[in-house]
Amino acid sequence: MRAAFVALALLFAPTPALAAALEGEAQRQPVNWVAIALFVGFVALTLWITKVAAKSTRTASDFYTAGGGITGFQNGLAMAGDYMSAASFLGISAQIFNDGYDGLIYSTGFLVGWPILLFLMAERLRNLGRFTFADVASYRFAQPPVRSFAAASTLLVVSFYLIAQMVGAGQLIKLLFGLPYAVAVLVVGALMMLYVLFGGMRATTWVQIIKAVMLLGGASFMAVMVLAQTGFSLEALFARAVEVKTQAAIAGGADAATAAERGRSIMMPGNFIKDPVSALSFGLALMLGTAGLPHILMRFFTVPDAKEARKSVFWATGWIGYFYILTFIIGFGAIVLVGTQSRYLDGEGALLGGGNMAAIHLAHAVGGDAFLGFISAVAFATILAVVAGLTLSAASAVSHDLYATVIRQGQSDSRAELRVSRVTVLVLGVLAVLLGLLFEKQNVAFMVSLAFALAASGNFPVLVMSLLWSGCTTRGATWGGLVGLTTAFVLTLFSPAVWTNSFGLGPAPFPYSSPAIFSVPMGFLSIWLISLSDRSPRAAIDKAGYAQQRVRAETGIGAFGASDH
Amino acid sequence: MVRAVTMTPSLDSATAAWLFTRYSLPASSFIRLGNRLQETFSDAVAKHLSGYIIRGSNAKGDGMADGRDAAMIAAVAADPRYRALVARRARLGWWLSALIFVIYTGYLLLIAFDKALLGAPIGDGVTSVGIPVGIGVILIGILLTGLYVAHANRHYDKAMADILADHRA
Repeated sequence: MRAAFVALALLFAPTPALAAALEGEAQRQPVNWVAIALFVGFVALTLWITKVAAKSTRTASDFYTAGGGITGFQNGLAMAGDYMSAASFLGISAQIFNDGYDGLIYSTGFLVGWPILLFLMAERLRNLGRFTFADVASYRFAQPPVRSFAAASTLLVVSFYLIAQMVGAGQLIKLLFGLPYAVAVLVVGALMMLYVLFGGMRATTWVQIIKAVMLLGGASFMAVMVLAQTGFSLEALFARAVEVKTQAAIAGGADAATAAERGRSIMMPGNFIKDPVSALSFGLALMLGTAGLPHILMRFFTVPDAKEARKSVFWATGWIGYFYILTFIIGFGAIVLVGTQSRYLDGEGALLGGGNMAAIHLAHAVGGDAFLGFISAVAFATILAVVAGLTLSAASAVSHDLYATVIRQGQSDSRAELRVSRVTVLVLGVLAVLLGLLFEKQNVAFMVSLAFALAASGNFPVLVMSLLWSGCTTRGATWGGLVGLTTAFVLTLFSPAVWTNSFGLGPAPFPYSSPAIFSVPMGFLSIWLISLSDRSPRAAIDKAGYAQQRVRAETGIGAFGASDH
Repeated sequence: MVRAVTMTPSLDSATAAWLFTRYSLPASSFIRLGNRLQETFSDAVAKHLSGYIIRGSNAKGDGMADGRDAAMIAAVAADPRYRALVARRARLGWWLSALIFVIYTGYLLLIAFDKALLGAPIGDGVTSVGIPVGIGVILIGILLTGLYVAHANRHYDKAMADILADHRA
């Protein structure tokens, strides 16, 4: 793993920053004391929660799943808190500020994975699993191979997601708080370690819930203030936005017809989707990747039963969908309220502080300095909640899947398992800070979509096939999953975002923006073919186990309840 | 199903042997001391450790059930009412997944092949067709999850509980 990072780091060394979500180098802003005071308040609150949580975190199940006693509603909020990243809040609203409609295409992709997660997996995950998604994927199989695959895949997915979050955090905090990049990354790393190390899943859950409430509250306020400007008419808001863009084009020297066309363009899909293959591929990665993200799947084990698991997805989907609709309004609000005021723009008409500042400036426009501080603190809290969830899931993959099951063959007590988990958290925290510093000047935007593509091509096929196809065998799940994962990884290296933009190697051998349309079928096909050709004695055991696994998946007989934990 | 991997606080033999050579302790006294400690504290230790013990995995570490759970699972699996219920739900799950999949990929294909259609204004206004369509995809996602959860809460859980109650008795 670490060797892979060093290799990657060397490969990435000379790269021009470019494109997408958290783009460009952020300019450092004057120190924002309101934001810092509010953020310190948030940190104090979450550390107090961590302290309380630490008292009741003694067993492995406390640490991994908060004892299994989280309600569906709470878990839904926490999932939303785990999922709504600062990149999607600032990145999508900024994309709408620039191009209008295209931001909505992103949002829909991030949402549609949740219903699929519910219809095919949520209840079965809860009934079969205990701490990690590998519990489910390996349920009827030989443990070491499938667990090793799941752990490797978890570490890979989490690493890319984590690097993107750490670099984003550093840039954002430099921007919002006026703190140096290194300090920002260190603060994020240290706080995340404290939450996870001492408070485990209990503290992580509450950090995520508080963050979700703050983010949803803040975004709601902004959307209402924007709509209040236009008498709560979306039509009037869009009309004003088109007018603003038209005027800007005229000011830029365009003739009336071109300017009108440019103004209208924010009402329709633009350059975000170039070719149909990239469009479908990217959409597939977002949709199916959501159902394969280890830190999201892990949250299903924090509720007492399948019914609460099901409810959590409903709440999560509702809150996330609501959030994306708010983001859409906020983006258009920024066109009208930020794009027209010179105090938010530099000499050339670009946003002060960088492309991602649209929502932040809008916060100032509708709520003054205090609300700007609040939204800045929310953005920081958002990153903390996401990285805490990621770290916890990586730590549990190492301690529960690799250490307890593969190395100790299920013969370890949970105290030893917890120790391994905590050491992993420390190592990961240090690693995350180092990687954050290492990747400071790199464009890491592609890493989030890479994480989704990997999850969609490795974890998702393995889970679906092991849950729903009786013919799946140990060999099929392990090697087939690995084929899907590797295909996604290699094709991403050959894609324009990495090959051309990051490596600077010229035209990319793989011309599409996402590998998923090839790598997801590749994963499924490999699992299917390898399982079919598997004539080993183990294959017979695997297939024979399906009937029993299916009954437990459907009924929860023998499932780990809150009291079993 | 819940089976404890019992932990005894005795030292394993390799550690004992190492301690023996390192400190030239008489092996017998060491083992006697260990056993004594074990007897004295076994209750307290067992109580203390009960929270830490890894439960629910069998000797192989996979999730497969044995004993009473396995018997009940076999009985439930053979129940035609169970089979019908599960088949119905699986069908519902696949249909709903296919529906959201088709809606979303259809939306993407529309964007890829007919941007003008989505960009067309609704009536005399500024708002384009694409906006209710895009927001609609999000709302349909929420609506379908809501319908599924309501259906499962109302009908599925009850039907399953009835079947399980018969086999538990």
